[in-house]
Amino acid sequence: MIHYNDHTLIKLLKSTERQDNDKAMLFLYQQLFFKVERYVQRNSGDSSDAADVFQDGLIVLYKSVRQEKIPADAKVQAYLYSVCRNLWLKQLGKSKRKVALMEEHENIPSGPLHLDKVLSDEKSELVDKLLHQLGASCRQLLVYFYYDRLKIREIAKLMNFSSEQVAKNKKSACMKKLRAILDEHPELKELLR
Amino acid sequence: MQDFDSNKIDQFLMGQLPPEEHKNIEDMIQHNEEFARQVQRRRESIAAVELLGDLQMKQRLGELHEKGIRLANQSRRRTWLRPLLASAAAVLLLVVAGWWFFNQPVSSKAMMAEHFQTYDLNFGQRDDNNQAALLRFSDLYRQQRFGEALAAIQNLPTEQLSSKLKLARGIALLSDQQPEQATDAFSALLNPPDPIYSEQARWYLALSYLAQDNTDECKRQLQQIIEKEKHFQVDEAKQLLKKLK
Repeated sequence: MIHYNDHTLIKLLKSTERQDNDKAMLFLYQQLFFKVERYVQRNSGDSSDAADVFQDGLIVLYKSVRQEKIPADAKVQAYLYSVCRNLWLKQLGKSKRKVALMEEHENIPSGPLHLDKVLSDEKSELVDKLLHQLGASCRQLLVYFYYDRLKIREIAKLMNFSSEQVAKNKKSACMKKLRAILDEHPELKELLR
Repeated sequence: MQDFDSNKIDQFLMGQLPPEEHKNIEDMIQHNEEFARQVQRRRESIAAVELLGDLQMKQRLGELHEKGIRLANQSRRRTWLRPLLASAAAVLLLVVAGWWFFNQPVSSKAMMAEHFQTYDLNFGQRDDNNQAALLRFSDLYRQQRFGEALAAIQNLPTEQLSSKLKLARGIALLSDQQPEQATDAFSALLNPPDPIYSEQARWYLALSYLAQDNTDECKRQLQQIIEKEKHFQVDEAKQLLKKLK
């Protein structure tokens, strides 16, 4: 497999092509997964915990890159490792497992410190409900715009809209639909606060 | 109900506004209840989309997970194998180099060097009349400074030298990389055979032929030494002859 430097990794994660994102993520799996797994296992976790933490770490990294929250000179692998470590520490704190943490004597740059598990079970259920009611096209458009931070022009191209205006109108309509769903389910709104 | 610019609110919530505009929106939230309510509703909607995005990413990563683990395993195996393969390669290289080294034909010069040792000779004042030159020669010979030793006696007629000095001169010539002249010096002690130093002369003669890559003549001399069972170098001669065959 090709070795990507930090600049290329960020470029691949920012790309509108899903294949590019996948290349970066697979590379990070290859480079870092077992290191994260070792950390989790040394600190009262198992392989399945490590897999969850690593995937959540990749999501945090992806969002940080897309939202331009990651420093321009960031060491991507060190950042991801730090995110995974902090996610696991937070999870350990919540589960109140009595553990003697095996801290490593490495110079690890700090990533975001206040991290929660990306998707709790409760939130996943909410998302399931939204998914069904919102429809595939609206879901994709809104995720492109608010999550992947794509420009309307890029969304119009990716979703084969005839113009940017059509994409804007569709986005507006989808947000209204989403709003209506949230208003219908006040219990869902509570979870979003 | 007043409608505010939803695009602006989006930009505010996504952190895409310049600092001044961002500050203006924050002020409006502080002072306009209706606006604050609309911003809050938009915030909830965007938070819901974030969850949708997280779920989508989780699904994508679920699809990638197995491939990712497979790649990580391959990489780990390679990392684990690398030092092992490097060690195996180093051992193989050593074995091949060793085999090559031990199977190399040993050069005549190398064999000569292996078997050559200077002969200890005690020089006394009786040895010759040219005492100063001879004392200097004997000193330099003992110090194994053969080139200088030869220079010390270069003006003395060779035929006037004692047998001992003739032998020493031949050894000095051989040591000083002059094997042809050394051959002549040792041959002179064998024709006719010197009563005291002919054994030594034949041994060094054999070595001087070896130094010239003349293995046939060397073997002939060694054979003569071996035939003379009491020769002082008979064992050494047997070893060398064995190597030359």
